[in-house]
Amino acid sequence: MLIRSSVLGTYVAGNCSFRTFLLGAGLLFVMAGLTQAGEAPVVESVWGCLLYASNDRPAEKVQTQPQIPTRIRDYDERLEKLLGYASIQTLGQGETVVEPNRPSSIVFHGNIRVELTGLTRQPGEHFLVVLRLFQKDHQLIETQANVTRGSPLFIRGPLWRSGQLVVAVMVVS
Amino acid sequence: MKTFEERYTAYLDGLLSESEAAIFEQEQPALVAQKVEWIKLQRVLRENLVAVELTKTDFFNSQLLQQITNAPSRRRSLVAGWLGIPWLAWGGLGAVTAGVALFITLIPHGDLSDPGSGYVAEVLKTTTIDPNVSATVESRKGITIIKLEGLEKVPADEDLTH
Repeated sequence: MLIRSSVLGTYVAGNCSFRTFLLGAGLLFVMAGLTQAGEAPVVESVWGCLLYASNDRPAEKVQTQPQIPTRIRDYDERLEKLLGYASIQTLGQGETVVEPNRPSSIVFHGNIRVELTGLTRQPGEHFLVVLRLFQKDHQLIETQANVTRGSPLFIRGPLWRSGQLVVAVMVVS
Repeated sequence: MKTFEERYTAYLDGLLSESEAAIFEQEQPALVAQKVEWIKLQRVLRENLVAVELTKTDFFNSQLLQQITNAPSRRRSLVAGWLGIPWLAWGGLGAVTAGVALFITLIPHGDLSDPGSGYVAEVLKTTTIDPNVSATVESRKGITIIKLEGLEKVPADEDLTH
């Protein structure tokens, strides 16, 4: 019985398993290559928010707007330091699905909107995103950026009241 | 129902009853002569084969052990066995190695202690239509911001919250 199982084991191991392993490994690499190498347009969700950075004291803050959204909470201190303001509030946020060849927008109050015209997957889970920022019908900027999922890109916009407006855009799914 | 082999063995050993033996001989007449020869052989063996008591057993054992020691062992070739480890084990090891390699190369990862370590936001190009508006990109560790200059101030009475 021992000899039989040993012979069988050797046969299976020598003739089937190694070939199966090679075949499986090859298939895995091919699949990985297909998923990685393609710079194809993708359907992804993009989240954005309109922030208000100011040095307002708590009593003067814009009504009872929440603080920085959870999705970019880790950037709170860095953003304040970079902008030179003491506090950041959220004025609005939204999410949209970007489909190939179909621009989509995230619209905030005051007719401030982010129009996403392109989103292409790059190797290494990177995305090439093309976006435009509008204030009413006036295009403020068009930019192309290489981002990863969950990495927000911030745009410091116009002044408002005693502070400044900031738009954050992030690929989320 | 006994098989032919069982009946034949019993027939040779004389274990069949007389009636069963008679039936078997009728069915297989050619085997009767074989049984006669078999009985002769048994008798000759019984008469001549005498149990011999082994003398000098230690010498016999030492000779036997020496033959066992000198017998060529069935060593598996290096190519066939790969250091004695079965192919299946090598296959498993290879699969695990491939899995770890794929995990490291394909799964984005970073230093969990630093929330900004996996941050990538690289501005490749910025364009402003309004000549009065300029854009500068400021990248620090874990954050990138495009700063627009020259924009008109949004009226303070404009409600951006509703």
